[in-house]
Amino acid sequence: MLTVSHLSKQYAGNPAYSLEDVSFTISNGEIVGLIGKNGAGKTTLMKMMAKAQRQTSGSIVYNGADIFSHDDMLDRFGIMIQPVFVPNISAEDNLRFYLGIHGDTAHERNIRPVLELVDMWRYRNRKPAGFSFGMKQRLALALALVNDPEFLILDEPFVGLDPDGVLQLITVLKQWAAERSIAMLISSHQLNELQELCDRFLFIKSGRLAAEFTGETGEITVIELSRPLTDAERASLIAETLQNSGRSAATIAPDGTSVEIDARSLELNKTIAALASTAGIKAIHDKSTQLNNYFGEGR
Amino acid sequence: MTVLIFKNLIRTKETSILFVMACFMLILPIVNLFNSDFMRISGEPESVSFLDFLAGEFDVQNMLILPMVVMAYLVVTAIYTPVATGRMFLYKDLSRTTIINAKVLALLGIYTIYVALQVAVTFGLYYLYIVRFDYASGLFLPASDASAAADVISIAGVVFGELLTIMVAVALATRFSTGIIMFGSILWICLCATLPQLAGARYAVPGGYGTLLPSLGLPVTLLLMLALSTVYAAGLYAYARRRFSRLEY
Repeated sequence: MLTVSHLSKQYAGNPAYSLEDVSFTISNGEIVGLIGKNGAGKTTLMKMMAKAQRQTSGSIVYNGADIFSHDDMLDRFGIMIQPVFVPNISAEDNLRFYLGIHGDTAHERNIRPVLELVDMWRYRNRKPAGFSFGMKQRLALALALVNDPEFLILDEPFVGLDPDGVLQLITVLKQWAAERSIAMLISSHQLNELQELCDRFLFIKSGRLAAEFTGETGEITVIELSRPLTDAERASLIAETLQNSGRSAATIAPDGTSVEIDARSLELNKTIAALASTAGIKAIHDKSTQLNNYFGEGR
Repeated sequence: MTVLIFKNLIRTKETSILFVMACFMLILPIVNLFNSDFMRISGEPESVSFLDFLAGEFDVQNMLILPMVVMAYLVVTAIYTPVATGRMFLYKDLSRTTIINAKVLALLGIYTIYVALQVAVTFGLYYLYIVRFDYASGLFLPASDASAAADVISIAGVVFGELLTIMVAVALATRFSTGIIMFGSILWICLCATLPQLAGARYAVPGGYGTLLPSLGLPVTLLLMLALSTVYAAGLYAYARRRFSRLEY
């Protein structure tokens, strides 16, 4: 499990924080999507997790150990934040070099399978300096996957892949997460792919963790209200939509400005009627578009 | 890690250029075909030994400056570029001291091959070509110990100066961009060339200790040059290691 606690980053000479008081956890086998507009702090967060940048305050603990306490704590991590490679040696030699500097020659058996996975095996003897951007991206992905990592940090992994490649990557990542309990933090602007892949999402806005929500798609209806519900209206709604389980079918947002309910709930009509007659309904949409709304909000 | 980095560096174009420059003296037979004073060797009959010729070869390489410019560019490739391009992500969080040590050792390995190539090419050229001329003695060492000592000090001055050029480039590469690295390296090379001519400043560079040879003898003079170079190298290495360990990218 990875636990990020009150992580902040302030660059020298800059009064503003690039990342401020971010806290979250990622469990083994969980795939978490990281979304936010350009400049929100996603890459800063990933770079601190990769120890390419030092934190101003806060901690990152992986399996009970603070990753900043010693060197070589990221041995079981696979990292793809930007396409990186040694330009004057072949693609295959790049993987050998990467495994060699980490003393991990045992994983050289993975070189062919991983290069085949990212459709780069036929280019294994070519030097990356002559690759297209997409090919460089796929080589970087191979470097992140070759050592059978337990935790993956992937920044825009779908860029450069054709639709078949995207589908294949999604399938493999989901399979790896399920079978090998690999945890992943994936940042992407390709929301459909993220939605297909991720269990949970973290929304970063202006350096802060603005929202955290699960990846329920298409089955949750979100009802946005014209005004926040009063305490009395909250209590009334909960009472009206009580289910046999003793829990309300409707989930009211903490600020009372929206209500979520299962799209197939028996209490759906009652909920809509109650809200229309009290706070008033501004919009109704399913949860799958909420991802787009968060991202669009950040534009 | 040193071996892996060395294997990558030796496959770069910069290294190929450096090794070609090590063979620069091979143009001597071609130059001698023309009636020119360029690279003309002369002397009393049977006065030029292999060591004398080798000292001259090191002097010529040093005056060219180009080999050290290429070496500085190799330092840029090994140390600055991986940070600037983010290639450091490949190393994840391996010890930065281990990484910088491996890179420096790999660079010194390339330099060692460069020097060895010079010696080998000079050896072959002397015994296959130069010995035909009447100024060549055909002997490995000069006839007099004083000449031999002077040759050793001359070669040591060049080698120490070049090793420090590499360390200057390494230190600069942990903080500055390519332009500053090249400028700083060339500035050091120029200081090594000019300061020995100045009475008040000659002892600030390894090549300025030749004047002490008659009074102090070879071992002590060599020791002084080594001590000075070690102090400089240690300071530059300490700076580079500290800067590299704190780099963010």
